[in-house]
Amino acid sequence: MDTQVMIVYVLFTAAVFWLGLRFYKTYNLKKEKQQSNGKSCGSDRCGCN
Amino acid sequence: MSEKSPVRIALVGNPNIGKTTLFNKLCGLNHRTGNYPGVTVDKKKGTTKHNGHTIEVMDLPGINSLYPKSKDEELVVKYLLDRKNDNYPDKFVLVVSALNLKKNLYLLDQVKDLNIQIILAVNMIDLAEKRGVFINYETLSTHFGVPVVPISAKKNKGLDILKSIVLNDVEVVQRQSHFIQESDKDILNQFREIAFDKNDYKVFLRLTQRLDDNPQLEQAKDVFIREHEVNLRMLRKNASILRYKFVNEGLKKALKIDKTKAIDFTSRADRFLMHPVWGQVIFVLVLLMVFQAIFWLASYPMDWIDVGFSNLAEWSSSTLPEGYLSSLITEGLIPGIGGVVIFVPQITILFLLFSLLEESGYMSRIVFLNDKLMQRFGMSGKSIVPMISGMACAIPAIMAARTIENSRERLITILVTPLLTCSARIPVYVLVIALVIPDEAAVGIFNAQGLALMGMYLLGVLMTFVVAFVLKGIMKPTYKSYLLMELPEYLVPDLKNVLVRVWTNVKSFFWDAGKIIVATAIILFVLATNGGEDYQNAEQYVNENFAELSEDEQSVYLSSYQIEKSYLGQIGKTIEPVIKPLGYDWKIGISIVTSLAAREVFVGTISVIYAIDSEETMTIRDRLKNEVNPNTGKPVFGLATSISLLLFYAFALQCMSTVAVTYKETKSIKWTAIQFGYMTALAYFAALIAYQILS
Repeated sequence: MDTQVMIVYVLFTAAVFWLGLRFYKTYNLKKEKQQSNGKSCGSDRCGCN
Repeated sequence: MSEKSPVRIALVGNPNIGKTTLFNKLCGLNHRTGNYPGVTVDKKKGTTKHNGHTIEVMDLPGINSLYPKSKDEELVVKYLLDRKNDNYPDKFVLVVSALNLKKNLYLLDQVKDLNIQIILAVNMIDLAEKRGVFINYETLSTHFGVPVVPISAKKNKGLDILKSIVLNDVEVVQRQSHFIQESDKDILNQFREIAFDKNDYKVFLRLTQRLDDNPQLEQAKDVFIREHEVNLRMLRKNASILRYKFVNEGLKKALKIDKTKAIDFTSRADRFLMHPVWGQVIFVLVLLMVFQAIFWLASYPMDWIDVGFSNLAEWSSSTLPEGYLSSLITEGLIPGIGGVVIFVPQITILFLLFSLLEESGYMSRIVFLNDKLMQRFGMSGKSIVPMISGMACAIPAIMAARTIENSRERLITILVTPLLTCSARIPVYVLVIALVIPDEAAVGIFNAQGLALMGMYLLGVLMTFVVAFVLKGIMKPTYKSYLLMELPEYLVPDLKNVLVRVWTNVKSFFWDAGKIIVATAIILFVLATNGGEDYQNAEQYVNENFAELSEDEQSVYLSSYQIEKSYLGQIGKTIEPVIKPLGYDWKIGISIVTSLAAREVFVGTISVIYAIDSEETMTIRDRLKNEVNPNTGKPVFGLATSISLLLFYAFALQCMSTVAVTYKETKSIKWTAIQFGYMTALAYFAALIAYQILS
């Protein structure tokens, strides 16, 4: 395979992996939710209302 | 204390009294400060040196009292009470404004009862003198039983004295619980057996509000309140009356206000700027000037950048060795990055002007001026702060909504804030507006493109209010809230603060968006230059079926046919039926899909797709202007499609980070889904109606 083509495919794989990882990190808030005390806005339990 | 061991201090005080400015001056760090409440939403740390000692400084979010009404206030109060916390400071520096002592000293009186080491820093003494406010610091110190240091954080005055005092031990004067009426003392003593605390005030706080996540204590407290028929509201009210009485006694002795000696610019300026009618007129004029300036000032650097990237693409095309990687650079990366860089001048000017308004103290006036209006739409005057921040980026704006005490008002603010025009929409708006309105067009003395951009901002604001009003009708009210805030002095903006803020925001726009755009450009390029059997046999197909065309015409047709048959083209064709009624072709469809990551990716994507499709190297705007629909022979970006596209981007929640932050802040999948759902539906139907009427 041509070197230039190979470099582009490596970059393509890296870009897909990086965007996927970023997407996963953004939405992976499950752990944080478990750690929180479950207070939720709109349920009148936000702050000390 | 050993001579060299670090001393840990925390800055505490009401919002907007210059804590963060003091923190920055002490630590020399570039932290965000602002001349309106709610800037510090999380604690920040830094260090400073004095006489060979290290002082660790922590800046806490502003609190009005130890009765928290918002999430960030609650965090600070819990922190103040949690002495077992590893990060608990050795001393607290309670910062107050010399211009608003009565309200600020109320907090001192509360914190004092926690029996912790406190130093009182009276800030803005320079401004106080100009306003005819004179303070006897010794009397103040004797009355409250704390060391008092007059300072001007902004002008670096008194900071060395403050550091010296911080390094010495501070005597904690135990006092009688003067905040409890005689008749209430029995209740407090009986509850002490449940709360297990020696400190009167901590017992009081545990009784009157929910501070512990301890279900057993809460259960025992509920039983105690029922059995003893305790009226918590009355207990707190009585305590506040006694505290204000004590504060007033101190101020009577220590404070002298002589208005005849005031050289007060603020009061004179506020007569116009805070006027119910003139104030709003001036507010609209200020916004008009901001948007005009964005177009006028940015047009030259934008043209240079556009031409510069076009030349760069041409140069790289002729210089780089022929090959797939070279094509990626010329047709993918350069147009993709250029599509973002071109908007840096406008975003820089927007942030610069907003930062100047914020630093000058005018933003606080806008909050105050619009409180009543906001209340009618289910929000509060404090919602203005996230809403103005939302004009830069919805993410910090949604976080800034933490300062809103009322949960309903906070939720409505979070749900509507992404409708406001954030900086990521600017590239899309500017590009599309330039396609339908000529550069030289004017309405009177105003540039027509600038007016159109302002129109898009106003549309965002209008829809924000409409949706807020609907939500107000749907969501049940909790309690009536009120706005309690002090108006800062008008100040000459601190140039360093302004420049640091502009730099931070522009860097974040360029760097965060840039990384996504480069990755997207690579993916798009590979998908657009590979395909199935039809793509592989494209050249043969064109040669056989269009032999009568000239070589140049065949070449143009081939590139267009290839991209249509590529993987990217096939994806676009799949979604085309959904977006066709909005006036979009598959290329716009692909750009909308990729911009789900971030709105500004739209411009990068569309630049890449058309660069691959085109034989010539030209500027992004020219390329899009020349694009013709092969079926109708009309421009792709005609008036109907352009208006439809503007409306789609005005209302759609095309930003995955905003979705994540809404979820993080509301802790609710339901509200996150509602926000995404209503905005997408609104965008689709607004674009559909506009296209169907105009086409």
